[in-house]
Amino acid sequence: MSVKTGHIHISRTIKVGQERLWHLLTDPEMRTLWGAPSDEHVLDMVSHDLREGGRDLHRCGPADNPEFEVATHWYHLAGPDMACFTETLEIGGARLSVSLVGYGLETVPGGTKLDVDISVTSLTGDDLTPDHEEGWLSGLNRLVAMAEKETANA
Amino acid sequence: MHETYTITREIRACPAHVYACWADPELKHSWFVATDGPAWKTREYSLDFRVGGRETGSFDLAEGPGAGHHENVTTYLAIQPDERIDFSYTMALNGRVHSASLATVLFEDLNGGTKLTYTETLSTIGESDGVAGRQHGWNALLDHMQRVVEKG
Repeated sequence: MSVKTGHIHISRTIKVGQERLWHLLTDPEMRTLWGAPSDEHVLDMVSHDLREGGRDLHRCGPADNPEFEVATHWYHLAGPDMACFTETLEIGGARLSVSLVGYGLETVPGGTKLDVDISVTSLTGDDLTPDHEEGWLSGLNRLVAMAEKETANA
Repeated sequence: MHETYTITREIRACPAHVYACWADPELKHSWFVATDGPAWKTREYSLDFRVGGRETGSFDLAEGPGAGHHENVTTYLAIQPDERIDFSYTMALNGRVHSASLATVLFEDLNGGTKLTYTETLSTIGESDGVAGRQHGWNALLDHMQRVVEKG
């Protein structure tokens, strides 16, 4: 037996103010608009408690069967600069993975630089890092599009 | 950026016994808490060992570069009895969280004994003793655990 932990780093420079990007990243309602793991999936927020020590629960997957359950545990919230949390992913009561996630935000010329660090520990024995990376890339693409559309319309 | 380190130990006790050192509150207390020295005093400790349960501790270190009031808050994320424990935890110094970690402990049979593998990925938050601090702390704790479990 071994521990399969994969690391993902994604960096984006987004044409949006840092405070607004922080809100888009952390607000429960905003997260439902961009946070699903693909364009075909949905993210339904079940409960949220955005504070250090707080826990959120959301479901995601196809709109007619959002069968994946994700528990978020917020460890550190230093808006609008940094957040640190874990996500536990399960389906049908079976835990698939736990992830440690960090957001780093920095104002740069023309917008905000966002760095996302994700460490994925599989609980199934399979390497789930590529699936997580695909989901995060899809979600962040929607976040960037949403944020930059807001900025263009402002 | 996240950083990862691993510690392994070969222990002269079966996996079920070593696992019990983490799951049983009295056994856990004997190596995780009851190791105070002249400069290290425990203020508070609690353990709720179940998925979603929390463990909290607070300790005062009187001297050295890490002197101050330390707090750890652990959440158990996944538990496979006698085989594996996954948990997350934060460390704080004087009220400020300075690291958040995801950790896995594996218990594997090794000719009747146990190979314990502790793997931790951590994110440091501002000024922190970082990987070196966590490694130092867990090596000391696992030394205590090994003494407790091998003593029977």
